[in-house]
Amino acid sequence: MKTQYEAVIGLEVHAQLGTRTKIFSRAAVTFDEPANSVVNEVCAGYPGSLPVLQRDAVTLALRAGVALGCNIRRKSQFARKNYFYPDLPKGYQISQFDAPLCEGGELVFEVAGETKRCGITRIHMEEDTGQSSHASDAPFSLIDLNRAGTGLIEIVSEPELRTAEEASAYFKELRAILVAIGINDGVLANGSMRCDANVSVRPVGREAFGTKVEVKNLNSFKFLREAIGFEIERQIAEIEAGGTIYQETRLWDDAKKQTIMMRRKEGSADYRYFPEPDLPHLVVSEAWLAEVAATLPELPSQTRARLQEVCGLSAYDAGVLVATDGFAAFFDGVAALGTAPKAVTNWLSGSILAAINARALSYRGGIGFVTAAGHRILPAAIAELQKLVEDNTISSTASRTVFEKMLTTDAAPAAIVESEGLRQVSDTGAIDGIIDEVLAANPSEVERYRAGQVQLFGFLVGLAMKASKGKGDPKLVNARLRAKLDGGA
Amino acid sequence: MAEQTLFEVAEAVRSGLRTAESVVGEALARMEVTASFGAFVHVDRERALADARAVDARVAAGELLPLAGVPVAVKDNLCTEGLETSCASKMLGGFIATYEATAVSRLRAAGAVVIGKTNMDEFAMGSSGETSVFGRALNPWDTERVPGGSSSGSAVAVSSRAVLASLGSDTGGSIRQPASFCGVVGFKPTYGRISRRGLVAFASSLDQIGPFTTDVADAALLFSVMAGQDGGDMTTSDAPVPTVDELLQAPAPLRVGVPKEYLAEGLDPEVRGRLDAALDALKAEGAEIVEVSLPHSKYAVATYYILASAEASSNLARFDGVRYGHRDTNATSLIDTYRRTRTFGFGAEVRRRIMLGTFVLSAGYYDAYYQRAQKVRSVFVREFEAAFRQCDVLLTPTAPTAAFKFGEHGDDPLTMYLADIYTIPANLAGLPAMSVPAGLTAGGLPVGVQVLAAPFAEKTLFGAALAIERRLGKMAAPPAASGEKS
Amino acid sequence: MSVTLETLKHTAELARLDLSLLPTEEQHRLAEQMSRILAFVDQLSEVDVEGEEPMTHPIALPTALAADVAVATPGAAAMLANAPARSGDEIVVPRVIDGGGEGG
Repeated sequence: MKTQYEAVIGLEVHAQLGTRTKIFSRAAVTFDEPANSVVNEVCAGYPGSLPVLQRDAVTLALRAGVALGCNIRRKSQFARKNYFYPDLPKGYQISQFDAPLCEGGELVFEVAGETKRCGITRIHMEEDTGQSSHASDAPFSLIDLNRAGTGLIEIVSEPELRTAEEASAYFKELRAILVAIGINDGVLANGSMRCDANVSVRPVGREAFGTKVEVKNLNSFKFLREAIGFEIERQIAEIEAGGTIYQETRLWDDAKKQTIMMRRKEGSADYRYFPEPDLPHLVVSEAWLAEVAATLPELPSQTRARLQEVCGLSAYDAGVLVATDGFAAFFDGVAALGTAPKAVTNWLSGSILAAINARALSYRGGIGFVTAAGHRILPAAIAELQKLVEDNTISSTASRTVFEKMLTTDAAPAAIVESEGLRQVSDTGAIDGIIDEVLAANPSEVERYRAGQVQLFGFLVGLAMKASKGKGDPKLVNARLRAKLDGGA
Repeated sequence: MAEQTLFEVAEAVRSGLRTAESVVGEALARMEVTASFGAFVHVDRERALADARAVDARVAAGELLPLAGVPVAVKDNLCTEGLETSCASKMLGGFIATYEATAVSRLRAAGAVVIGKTNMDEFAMGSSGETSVFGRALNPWDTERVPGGSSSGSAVAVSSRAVLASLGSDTGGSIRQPASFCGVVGFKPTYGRISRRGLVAFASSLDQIGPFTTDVADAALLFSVMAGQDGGDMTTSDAPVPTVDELLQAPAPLRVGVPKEYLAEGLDPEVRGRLDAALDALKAEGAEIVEVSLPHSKYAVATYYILASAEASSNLARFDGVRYGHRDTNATSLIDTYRRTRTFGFGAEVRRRIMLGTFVLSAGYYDAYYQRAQKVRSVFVREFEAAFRQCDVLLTPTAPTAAFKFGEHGDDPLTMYLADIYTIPANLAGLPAMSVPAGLTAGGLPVGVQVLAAPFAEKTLFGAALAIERRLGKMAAPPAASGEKS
Repeated sequence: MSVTLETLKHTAELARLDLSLLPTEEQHRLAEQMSRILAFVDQLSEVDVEGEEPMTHPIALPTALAADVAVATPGAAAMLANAPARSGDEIVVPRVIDGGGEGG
């Protein structure tokens, strides 16, 4: 009988802490600044410089620990991880080793409608490295230390994920949680969150783990799924062919759609961790922890439950709102102004999503939805637009036209209705006049309708709406046309 | 002619009797006269004089500066803006810091003027000053002999009276041992009292900055200016800092403990004689002498060499030739650039300690060496706590001998390491400790005794030190230096 | 314990030192000195450390965390003034071979 294999997957996610300053120095955390411009003596590892931990970075790490149900260590310790690399200014990274801030949490997520759980081994704080770059043929590399010292949390999962889909769903839910609690904006392409996967395979039923391979820098959900999927197949094929799995680090080559070997680990690397003597223990008071717990923003799972239970949305709609950046908060903003939940979800999953896909609109963390022209689309504008539909000022077709206009101007919906002449015609006399003209111009259709071909009613409505240039109130057009055709008026 | 104190110099400048510029000019001239002792390694005369004129302007504007116009010499491992900081190493040749050490900033804010950087053992690793890339500094009492280390130049600068105050750093005795050898006061405060920001780290959990002066009161003045919590160093304490007046108040009669283990074999009889003289002085001042026991003392040197070397191996990893300092350009690959830069940029003693420190932290050895030493450190702290329940201060020799001759310890690092046997425990336990001159040997070499107190009990420590100084008299300048005095 | 040349070489590599660049007698002297120093520090195995906490700081230190408020940086020109080799605002090093840092 053919051996059945299962994969054992654990993820290590690094998330940058979205604080104003670096974790151990007061140089600003910014993107796209000129190289080495947001660097001081601490970031550059100058002789005599010392790390000074800041409070907000710890608060964010505590939020992550509380959100993931971890035990929070009241007295944790930083440690030095020693290795040489040009983007690592001090020759060591300040991290946490045997006394991390958070341990023993759990993440619940859904895969194909099924609820799964994955343990969180630990969350620890550390500092980011600088960046090196080089032209493809240059014999040298260039070092920029702007990123060096940016705060990170590393969230290490238990090896409890079994498929590429589970790993992807875990990372998606983790990302949603970290964004919801304000760790950062969750833009994977910027390196705000970076994922490494430890993958091994074993015959089903065996308890011992196989040799694990680390696949690094899986910085999109698609890469993560594809790389893990490939790696599982590669390892199974290797074992089936009588080969050996080596403990090594691999990278995803998206062009070739395969993982490639980066370096083989001979024994484990010797980082010579020891307690960081430049920093005292990190003491977290009960009051601080209570404040973090009390002010923790709503988590994605809580938002989904509320949207279903309180707002009456379907599980699907609630899932979409939470999974899409900015949607849940926007929903709450519009609904708070009195708009019906279903109408808000229609806007979000219709015109707004289409505009995002067409790159006419984008979500920016901390700001909201911003048009390509740089205007914000506020919840109040959508509430106003929907109200114009509901009080019959415009048709729903016209409302979509108004929204399109909102993407290119910063005028209010009502002003667009006027400037574009989209106001609905609701005057019975005017409608009657239009209908009379349509009926007069199409005597044979009127004849056939009255002879029993009732399906022609829709055709005649269409003609009347067209004659009104789309501005006729469809309900009024319907009512008056039916009255004229059926009532002989 | 009686020597001046820092109080008198500052008062003369504050009162307009002298200008800071003339005081600094005179110190620069003294530096010239005493140049053969090799105390200084980087000097910028023009800048020192300009800084002095700036102090004169502040005095004229009515600022009451406790160190108005006081010239200070600064060990070459303390970052000074605009003045080279090289740690007496090829590795940091030409390095100019972009920021200044907090201790130096506080001295400047109080009106002091930095007149130069002083010689030292490379990266503060040594007990004789001989590992400096600039060559050795000489003991002004006998130029055949070492000044002690690692703060060799700072001790020599004060001993030779080029200046009346200098800064050193003390990781295992690097202030107190050269102070003893050179006949000056050397003080290492409680760990956490003075910010280490800007001190090029040797061993972060042991390093502490402190002053060299010609008398105890001057040390109190410098300490009171430099001490206190610093937002730039998380290992500084928030304990209140005593004022200089509080430090100089006569204390209630003291109980002075003498650890019996410190008087065991290896202690030079002449050093023992000076210790007894200091004990007699304290008795004469009303102190009660009690014998105490510190049974683990013999393990101090071993504990220290593991912990200090381990921290150093990590602290010195940043010297990789990438961002500053020496880079070996005879390599083409990155890894060879690292290897050549570090192998040739560091001297033999620094390489040896990096190797030892790397080894004790490496996989398979961490528990047996590094972590065990950290646990022994807990034992030391408890042992000192018990001792200080029996007495207010401890009195010990500073070093087993007076200054030894150059090359006397030959090629054996262990013998040299054992020269720090009495000073190391204070670093392990974070205690304040001072070497106070206690007279001369028959051969005319100065000998210091060490006063130790409980953490943050500097006031008690100064009380005992002042009592010794009062009875034994302030140590005079060495003949070679006083002969050249103007 | 006695330090073999093999251990010495491994330790040196961790510390990015290359002892083979030194004269042979210096390598041997270093091995011999390290062996003697380690034999000396081995005396700590006599100390009963049962139940002792590994200590990093001998005194109690406050938890004085900084506020998250940025302070202006000196700028690339000042920070790179000490760099042995640079190109524009970046530091130049011999080419980095790996795709990324060893750490994470």
